[in-house]
Amino acid sequence: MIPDFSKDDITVVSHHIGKIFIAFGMVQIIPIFIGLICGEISAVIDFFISIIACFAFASILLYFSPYLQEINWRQGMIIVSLSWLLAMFFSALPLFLSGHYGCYLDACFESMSAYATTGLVLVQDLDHMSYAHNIWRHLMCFLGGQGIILVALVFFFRGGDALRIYVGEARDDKILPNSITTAKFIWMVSLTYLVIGSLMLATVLLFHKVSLPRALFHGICIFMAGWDTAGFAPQSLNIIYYHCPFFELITIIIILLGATSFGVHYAVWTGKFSELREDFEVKVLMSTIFFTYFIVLVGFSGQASLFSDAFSFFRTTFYQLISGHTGVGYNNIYSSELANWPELALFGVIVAMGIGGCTNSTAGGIKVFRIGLLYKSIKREVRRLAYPESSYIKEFFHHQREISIDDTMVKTAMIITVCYILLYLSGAVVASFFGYGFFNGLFESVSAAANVGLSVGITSPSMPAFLKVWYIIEMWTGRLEFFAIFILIRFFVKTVKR
Amino acid sequence: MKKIKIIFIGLLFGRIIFLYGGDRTNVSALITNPTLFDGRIVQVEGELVGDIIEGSDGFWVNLLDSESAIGIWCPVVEKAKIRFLGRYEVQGDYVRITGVFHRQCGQHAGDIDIHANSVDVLQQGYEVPEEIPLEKAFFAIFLGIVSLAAIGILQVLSRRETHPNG
Repeated sequence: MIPDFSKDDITVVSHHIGKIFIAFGMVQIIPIFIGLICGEISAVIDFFISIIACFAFASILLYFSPYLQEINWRQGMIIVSLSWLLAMFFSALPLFLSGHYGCYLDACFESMSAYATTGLVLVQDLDHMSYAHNIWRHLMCFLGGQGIILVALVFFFRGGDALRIYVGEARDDKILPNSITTAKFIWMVSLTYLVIGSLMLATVLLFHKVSLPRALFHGICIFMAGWDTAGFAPQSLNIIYYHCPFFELITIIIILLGATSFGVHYAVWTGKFSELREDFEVKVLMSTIFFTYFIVLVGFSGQASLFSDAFSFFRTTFYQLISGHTGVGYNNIYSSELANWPELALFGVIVAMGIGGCTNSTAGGIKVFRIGLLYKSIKREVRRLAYPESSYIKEFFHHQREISIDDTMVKTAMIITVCYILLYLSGAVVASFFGYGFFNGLFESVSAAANVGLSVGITSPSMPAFLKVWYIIEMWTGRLEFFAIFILIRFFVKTVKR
Repeated sequence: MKKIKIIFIGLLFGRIIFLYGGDRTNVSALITNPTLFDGRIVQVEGELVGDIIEGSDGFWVNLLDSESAIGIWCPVVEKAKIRFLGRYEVQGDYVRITGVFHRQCGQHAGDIDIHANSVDVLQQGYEVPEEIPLEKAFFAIFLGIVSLAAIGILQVLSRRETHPNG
């Protein structure tokens, strides 16, 4: 019999959420610092209110829920899913106070979009937003991409607790023997790339005579949202703003690095460059990029005259494809232009978005690992049927080590894939209900659930509130890969029943 | 008869000015119907925002009207006219751009843009002094005091429960 949820579960969950919110409040010192440097007193007050709210909430939880015991798996899952939801509400507070959001729901939408690294936005008049608020939008992407709780993990959690929380945040690979050292490694890689990537982007802008502080601001924001495959930008025109193919090329490199598994990063950092060539996931990622781009090309057959030349065709179509596939959602064309693409080309982008990036990366979607695994398992079944009954068929792949495919692995991949497909379809049905059309609804739904951020124009402050809530659920569920959410729902149902 | 002549001449000049000046439109109309305006002289009005991004023989600046923004490629000589770019606490110059709209610009790798023939500053921008809503400031102070008091009380209670005798 499955053990029921007890009062102890609530105490353990509350205690650890309290700890996470201390870390969460501390992180907001960064936008306060930026606000003070830039003389944005109003913004500083917004973050001051938000920090106090976080610390007060954390203190109440920690007082009423003292430390009882180590976290078990299901408690870990509940802590993660609930923390993400609460983080959305609390992070929306400074955004809402900034006056750039029509209502609190819009601010919540934006904060979930940032944490889940989706990139769909409801901000208004972004071009006049304060530096502090704008940095906060991108910082949320940076925290969400690594995993919000990964921040707290480094400082506030013990070994066993850390592992269960780490797994709850949709990471199943421990790169190093212990979760805390793995979390530290992930932060080290991310911060190193942050410095290099931001400087590269800023240098391009300096070359175009943008002032140093502004170039650094753009570089840092674009890097944080690009590396974490979120797709936010500090200006309303997104990547179009920069009018620079070379700048776009650098973002592609950053995006691809972000969509690559931290396991591969670790291998490369420790000198095993061959891993880039041999890793199963990297190979599948390259194959699916070529496959989906082929669909886009077929979709545009006979319509090349829409573009001024071959380079502009490649620049536009490949950027959207790679942006969709890796889940970043940066766009170098307007939503209205994308919506006018041939349906087959859009379908290619939908497939790419649905597949997503690598596991244990900052990308969303089904993940290329699972797609590759399902392909290999189909191959294994075909061989099993073709060979004599007495034969024992084994299929291997290389993912940091040689791994033999087993049925449990395939079953898990299949369950998650089916869940994603159902989630994608659910959003399309809801959008159709509001009159947006099934195909456009499917595009937007896949973009939300796979945490991409490309849009054909449905996402806007004027869209129905129910659709906003639905997309928030899709972003949250898609980012945490279902199980943590399912356990949270079960926890609530059981608690209410009692 | 004289009045009719005046009206006729007025209409004629109006048409000439309209043809020379281009189709007066807005950014949303351009980006939702790019084919309609492709290669035509258009006229848009809006606020200049962000940064000046310089190129080899001109510079980029982005124009924001009430709904959308678009990139404007300007000749170097126009740069001196621009004084304020819209940002936080800065209202950018409000300008009228007359130029050629491109759905797919051959010169700029397929960008959707306007190549400006002229930039007319209709209203110069200005710095907007930061407004700190008093109610927000008071709320922050009130919240700070209440929260610090609550945290303090909880800490004391927590210590008493941990060490009941001391």
